[in-house]
Amino acid sequence: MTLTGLVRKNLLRRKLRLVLLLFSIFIAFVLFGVLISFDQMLKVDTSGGDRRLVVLNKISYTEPLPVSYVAEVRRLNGVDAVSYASWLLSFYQRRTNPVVVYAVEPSSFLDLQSDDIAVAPARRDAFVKDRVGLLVSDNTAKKLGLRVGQNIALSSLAVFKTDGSQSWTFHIDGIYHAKSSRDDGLALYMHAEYLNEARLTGKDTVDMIWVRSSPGRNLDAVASQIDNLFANSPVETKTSSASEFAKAFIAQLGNVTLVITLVTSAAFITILLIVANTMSMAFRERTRELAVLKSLGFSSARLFRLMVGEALFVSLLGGIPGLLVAHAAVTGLRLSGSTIFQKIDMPGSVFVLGLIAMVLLAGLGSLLPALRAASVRPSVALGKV
Amino acid sequence: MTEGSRGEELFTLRHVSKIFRNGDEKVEIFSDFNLSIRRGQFVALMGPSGSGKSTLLNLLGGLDRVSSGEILYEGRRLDQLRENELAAWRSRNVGFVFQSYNLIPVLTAVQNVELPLLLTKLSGKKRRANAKVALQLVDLENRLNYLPRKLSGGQQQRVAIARAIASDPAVLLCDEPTGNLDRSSADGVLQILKSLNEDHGKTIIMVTHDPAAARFASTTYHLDKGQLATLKSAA
Repeated sequence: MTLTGLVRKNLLRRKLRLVLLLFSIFIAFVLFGVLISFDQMLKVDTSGGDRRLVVLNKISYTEPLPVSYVAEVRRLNGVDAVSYASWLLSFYQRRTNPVVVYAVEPSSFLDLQSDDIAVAPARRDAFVKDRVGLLVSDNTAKKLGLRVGQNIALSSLAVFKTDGSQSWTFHIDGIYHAKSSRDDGLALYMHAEYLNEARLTGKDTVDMIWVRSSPGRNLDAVASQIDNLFANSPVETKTSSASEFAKAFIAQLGNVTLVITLVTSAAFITILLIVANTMSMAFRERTRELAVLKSLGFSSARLFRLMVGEALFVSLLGGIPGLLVAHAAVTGLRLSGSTIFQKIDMPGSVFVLGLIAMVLLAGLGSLLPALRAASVRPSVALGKV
Repeated sequence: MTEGSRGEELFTLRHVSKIFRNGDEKVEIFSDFNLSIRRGQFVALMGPSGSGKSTLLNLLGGLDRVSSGEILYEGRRLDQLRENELAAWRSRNVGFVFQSYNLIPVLTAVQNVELPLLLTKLSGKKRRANAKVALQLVDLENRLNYLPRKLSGGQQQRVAIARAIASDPAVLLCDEPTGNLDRSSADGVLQILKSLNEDHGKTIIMVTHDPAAARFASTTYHLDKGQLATLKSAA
């Protein structure tokens, strides 16, 4: 017989209540694990040291820019390198296999993105030289079963070709690996020239211009310089740093992260109240026994620790399996082949956060009931005055 | 065996008053109450309901506080101890036996007896061994792993006595220990208390309404309206 044994015996008094409580906590931590992992997936590495800027149409990122802007930006002081991209939303074979193809100027683009994209030099050269070449991410290649040397056709969703078709044929020249979280590791890269020549509308336009400022130059100053250049023109620009751009892009999902926060918080507050209520009931039922323990020499502090220990035991017993199931669910989502969840993961930090949440849940949920239980007056509780 | 010499002063109550408040109403249980209990005494406290017998027991056991006055145990002021000090003192010096046994229903007999030993530094094996010895003293060595609901009232009270003596305290405070028992079971429990007093030197203070139970005591006090009268004294 130990104090832990005493806690265990007390917990097992009402098995149905324990099972329901454990199940509530279990569900809360499954939600916690999955939602926090989803939240982590949406986070972008915005660490410093990035000298890149992104130039977009001031009205919206979906509106194009004239390709002539690329040359004008290239001439500016403080600009080290420039590239550009347009996107071609497509699917491979079936609409259930959507892909985002970026039409880029190969050399300059791969040079600008060298911190984010890793591709073997031979594959890179092959892609640069091949007008219908395609660079595929390793994740997408694995998912769609693509390999180097293969010829494939992609169907564009909105862009028509001059011949009226929406089918674009490519030759896969290389597979790349996304080195940082700034690249989602899902995109495919094609030649901008190929897109521009074959598209029916939107010729000589680009969706975004990538700029690398010269070393030591102030990014904001360079951005202002670019925007001032095109101020009061028919197509004004909005230039921001690459990290700000990534943040702004994610900010479009602001409501999703807000929903995640709200759902997680609501689940937790509900479970917290359930734990507090259950603990309160459990302690109230045992008021007399707690008084007996006090008469045996258990101090209020020891009783308080016993009660909180009981809550912690329950919290860990329900929470840890919850996190393990969340991990399995996250792994399942990642392996499901879904494009959205291709980068989802549940790192160790989520487990640590989860454990902290379990301790908080137990502490907050049992604090008041345990304080009340520990301050029981034996002479009153035992019904003898 | 309890330390100390039989006959020396164990509890001393000096000018004790105890007032309960119920809203604006004040109920005075004791006023300028004095009492001395010696080591090795078997004291029976009798008196009508509401006379303060259980309150006195609670004051002696540190479960309740005096409104004024002093309570000394072996010359040490109990009324000045903090809550945690009082709890520690209780765990070493006092064992309680209640009318309704108050065993923990989810623990077996031996586990119930082990409870006070959880507050000691004894190993698990030693705790279990001590608990078995205590149960042997109350003739329940063959009921170690019985849950309280599987035991009769008399057996449950004997487990409660075993729990009270497990940590070898000097004093047993018994609040109507035979109040829920039939005559035969009550006599069994009283024989055990008498044996603990005579053979093991335990000081026993027992609240009872039962004159037959009081006959087992060496000293009997009658308490009424906060006044104490000695009905019987071995001294």
